[in-house]
Amino acid sequence: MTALARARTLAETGWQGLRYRADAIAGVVLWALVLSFLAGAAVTSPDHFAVGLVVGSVYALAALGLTLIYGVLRFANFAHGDLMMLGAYVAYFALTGAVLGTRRDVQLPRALDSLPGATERLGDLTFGYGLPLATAVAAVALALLCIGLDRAVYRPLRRRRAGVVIFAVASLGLAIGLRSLMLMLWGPNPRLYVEGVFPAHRFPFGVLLKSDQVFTFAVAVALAGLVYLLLFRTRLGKAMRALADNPDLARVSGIDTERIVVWTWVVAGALIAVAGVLLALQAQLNPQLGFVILLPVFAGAILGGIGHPLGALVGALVVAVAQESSVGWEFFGRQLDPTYKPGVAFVILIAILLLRPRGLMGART
Amino acid sequence: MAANTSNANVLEVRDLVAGYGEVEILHGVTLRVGQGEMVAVIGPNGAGKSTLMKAIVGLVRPRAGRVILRREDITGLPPEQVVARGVCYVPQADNVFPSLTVQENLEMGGYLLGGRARERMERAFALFPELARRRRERAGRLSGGQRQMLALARALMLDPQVLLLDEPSAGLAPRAVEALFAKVQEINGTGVAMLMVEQNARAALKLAHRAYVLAMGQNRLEGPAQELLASEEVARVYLGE
Repeated sequence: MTALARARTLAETGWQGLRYRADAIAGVVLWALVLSFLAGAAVTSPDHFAVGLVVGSVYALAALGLTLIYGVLRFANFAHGDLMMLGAYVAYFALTGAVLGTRRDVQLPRALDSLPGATERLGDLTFGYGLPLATAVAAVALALLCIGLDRAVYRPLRRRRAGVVIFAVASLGLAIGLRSLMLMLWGPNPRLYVEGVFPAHRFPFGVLLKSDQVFTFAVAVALAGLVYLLLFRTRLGKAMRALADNPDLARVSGIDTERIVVWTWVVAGALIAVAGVLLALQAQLNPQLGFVILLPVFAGAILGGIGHPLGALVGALVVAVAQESSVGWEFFGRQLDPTYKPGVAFVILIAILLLRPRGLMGART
Repeated sequence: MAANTSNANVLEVRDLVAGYGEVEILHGVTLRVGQGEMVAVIGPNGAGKSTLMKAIVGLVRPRAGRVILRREDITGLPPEQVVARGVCYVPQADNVFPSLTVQENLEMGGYLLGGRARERMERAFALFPELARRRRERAGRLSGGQRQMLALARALMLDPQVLLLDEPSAGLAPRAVEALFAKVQEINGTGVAMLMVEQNARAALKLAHRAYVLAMGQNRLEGPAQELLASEEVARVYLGE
């Protein structure tokens, strides 16, 4: 080896080492930022922090579904938010049997809330057992719908080995179609599962939360735990992760990948429906809402490292807490207007893409 | 060396034609692997060795020709069904699931076994003690040699009738190659028929019972490995002497 060649190799390995170290440092910095931000938010305004956790738990379920689809099927599903909203409306329909008529709503003669006692409030929650039942109906419906959409739209593209842009545009088209469908069936005016005004409860540190919000958080935590068990403890979940790692190797290991894809949609569809119902319970039923939350959900999934389930949970929580806390931030003596919340998600997204595109836990590319 | 092998074919490939898109890579390759035999396929870069493997296992759909496992025609079956019939395959690169643990990789290798995968896994760990020590580690953290061992162990989980190895020594340090080939020979010694593609022709010929030389997607030479090793043409063209 000549001295020059040796010097070049040395320079190259040095450069590689430096890049490796820079990446590792960026990771540590990112984690430190995230953790100190969460701690700071919790200490300075516990009330915003608590609401952030509740909103974040809904985002987290959404991001979990999004990242699952991204990992196993390798595309960014822009229809995710609208599918969530559709899930919320399907639950609404199962519960009330109402769709938009020409002048007023048309009502099915019977729906879940005509079951005896279905609207009697469960404890301090605003709804009765009808809503969980309707959510189960929506979960099944969305799982089936997702399988159908995959057959009709995504599988043909997969077989043609279409690029990411084609997938993105196809899912965006689907998103717009679904939103139009919701507008046609239920109109542009917001709806609620249960009408009425319900008081919030006072918790320590000045935190005010409604029982529904506590319920939302608990359901999200439980579901995330179930998904974790599925992915890391069951044969099906491990096959999903194997497929996400390397589809060809999965096939030559004897895994029927199309079957795993179907099951992935089943899991994602159920997650989508529950996340949608919880979102609507938090806010309202509104055809536009699905698209509005798509950005923070994507920001969360990317912050965590897209394709990584645990990352999605952490990322989504951070984005939601940042959005909620931003209401209390002051700029030049003025409070930040709540309408800037989506902007906060944007800023986080841009910062991550600049600092460390693979996010908190994503694989090195 | 050929004493413990019989003439009954485990795998037979007849006039196989395959390629990608517009490009045809294999223009009619024929070979056979007997019971307990270790067969090497050597040849220059671009001879179609890897494509041959992929066409046998179903990752590339053959355009013409036949792949026969014992008496069954398995031409053009999807990979998961080829594997279920006992043709297991170790790809050249990306042959482990990096984000899965060592143990999970083996579980995936035994995916078709369902609940019976456990005992096979213990057998694999007995065969590869180094993997047993790292069973909870992610496969992406293993060294190149360990990764190749894991790939081998994963493919063995189904007790294959024939094992296809695509360039097992690629990118490994000499010492790791030695250890790997020793393992491959040990496994072949237990009666597993093997078809191995190798860039490292001399090492492959030393290991194999019989060998085929592939060039430009066609059979060029074939014969007992010892003879090919001694052949002047092979030495000149493929062993770089």
